[in-house]
Amino acid sequence: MEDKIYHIISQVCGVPTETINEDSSPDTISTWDSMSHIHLVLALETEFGVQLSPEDSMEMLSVRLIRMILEDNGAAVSG
Amino acid sequence: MELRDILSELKPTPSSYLNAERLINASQYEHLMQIHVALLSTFTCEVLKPYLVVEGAALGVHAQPYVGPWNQLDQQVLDSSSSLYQSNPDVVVVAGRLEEIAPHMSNGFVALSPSEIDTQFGNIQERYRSLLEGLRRSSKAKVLVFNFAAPSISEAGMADPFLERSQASVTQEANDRLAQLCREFSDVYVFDYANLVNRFGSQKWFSGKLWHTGRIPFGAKAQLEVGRSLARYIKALFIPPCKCLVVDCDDTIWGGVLGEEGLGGIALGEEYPGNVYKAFQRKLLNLKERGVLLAVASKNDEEDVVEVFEKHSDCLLKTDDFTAMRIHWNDKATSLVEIAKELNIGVDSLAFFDDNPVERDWVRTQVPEVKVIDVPDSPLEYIQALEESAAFDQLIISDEDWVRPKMYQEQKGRQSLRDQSISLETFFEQLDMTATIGDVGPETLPRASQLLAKTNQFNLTTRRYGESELQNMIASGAVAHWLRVSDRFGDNGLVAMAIAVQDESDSWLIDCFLMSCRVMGRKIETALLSALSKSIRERGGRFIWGEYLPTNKNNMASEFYASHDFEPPSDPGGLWKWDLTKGEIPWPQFIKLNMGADAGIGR
Repeated sequence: MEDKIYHIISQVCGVPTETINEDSSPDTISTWDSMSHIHLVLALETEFGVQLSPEDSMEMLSVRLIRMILEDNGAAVSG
Repeated sequence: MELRDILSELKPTPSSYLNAERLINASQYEHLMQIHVALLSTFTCEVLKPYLVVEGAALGVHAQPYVGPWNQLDQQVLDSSSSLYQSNPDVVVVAGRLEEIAPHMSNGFVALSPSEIDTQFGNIQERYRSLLEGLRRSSKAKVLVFNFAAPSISEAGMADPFLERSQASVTQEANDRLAQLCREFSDVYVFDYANLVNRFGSQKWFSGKLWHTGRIPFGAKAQLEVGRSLARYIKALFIPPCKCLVVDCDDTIWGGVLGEEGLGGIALGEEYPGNVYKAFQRKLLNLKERGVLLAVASKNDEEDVVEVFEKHSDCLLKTDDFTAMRIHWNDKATSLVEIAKELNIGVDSLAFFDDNPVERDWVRTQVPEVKVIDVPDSPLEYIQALEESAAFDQLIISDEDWVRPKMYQEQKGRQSLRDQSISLETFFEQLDMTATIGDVGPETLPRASQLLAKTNQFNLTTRRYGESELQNMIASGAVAHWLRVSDRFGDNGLVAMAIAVQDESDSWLIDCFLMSCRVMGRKIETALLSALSKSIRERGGRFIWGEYLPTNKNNMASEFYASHDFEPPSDPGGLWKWDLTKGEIPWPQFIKLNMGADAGIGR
């Protein structure tokens, strides 16, 4: 099954899932701009059913960090 | 990908909307109306784009959003070369919050004296007046102005209601004044943001995190609500509402199957579940008060249904509330087409509400122009589904809307008179028609532009001018006449209008000529044409040129100029000609002309 985080990033940033990996970040995905980041955080909150603090939200600057922070917030993230 | 498939896979999540937005933008669906939407706000509103685009597409509009730089309302509006105007907007949305527009009204409110509050009102009014004047100066775009939501926590806490001027009432007053100001301008409407926040719950609406990190005042769910609501307003600005709601009977306006349970067995009354259906009936009567025509398409025996309308003590809907009824065992698609024909409206002016998904699907495939409302399984959700279908959204309710159902009722009387009459001439004479004709002015402008926007069938050129465009045409010398007609059955209201523009010194072109279909076949169009020719002659005109631009709906107007003896165009599609030296177009004898003081003609 498709990784849920990859799927969300793919939908929010409009890039194919195959191009996304653990190191993907605003540096490697050009459409991951500040507006997409706001949508991405809101999408992650909605899909994983968690509330992220402003600090966590701002630190989620790569797939690896997103996975870590979601886990810290008690979300069920497969790795 | 089909739009319908995109929408059916849609989930209420940010990622799903962003994905759908991208698919819609990539597809360029031809049946959607392209609308340039400029958003100006005192907060970050770019986040609304996906919701606006997707919800707009569901309602027939492809929104092309332009988002102005944050909190630069005045700079954008007052500079006629700003990026706002370069975006060539069809609609400009002015979204201000009281917190930024009048900071003292939220911060330090408790310390404000009543006279300081009045000063604040004055400042708000001045600011918005200058914005609206600026917009009207530099653009023909329609304008939506956000009104103000009261804060979820009052500055005075629980003491607010006991203040001489509470924050809640002051916010309301600011909204009343804002609405009053908007009414002074053409094509400017209030976007009821306050109501939206209220319905959702202001505590849940506001997102502290998004506000303090990104100046976005609402959370993800609230963003969806704003986008959806904006899409409905924009649709209401550009697409006419449905004119008639056709409802089914069994399990729709009462519970159970009449043919099986009988008059006493259906669910309709003061107790559950009958009270749910009674509440739905009340909602239908509310729509009727707003000017929507009601009709029935039911598979039943007609006398059984009529018996419910006439004898069931809890049935609020009576036979007279319906302008058309098709109650038989034949298919409903045909019934709908017949109803449209009987009421002289297009099938695309019909909305259909039926609990049976098979009937809905059948109608959808047979008459795709009909707005088929998605009816939820539970009757508890009927009212909401009807309202949220957006089928009857309209931004203002005009005087005509109040009386429309009554006029159709009177029309039924006219129809039966026609059946008895010996000749058409006698019929017209018995009708005792009086036409009042005047120049379009400030009072008639809203109805005139509504008529331009809504009339499809008897419309020679189908040009849709907004209020401000109309105003400009009149200011530059166009002759714009309206016509009202009354007869022995009552007043039909303002039903026709014509605009003629001078194109050379002695030659005038009829730019617009249209008439509501409910007065078809009574020579009223002849009366208006005659009056128009008189006005043109009085202004020194010699030639009148008539234009007919065919659409797939206005075929009934194709013979208009031929039947009034205009000289045919030299090549097909050209202009029809009337030479005024041989006289004006004759006035139909059986119509009286009201030359009263307000008539505006023959001064």
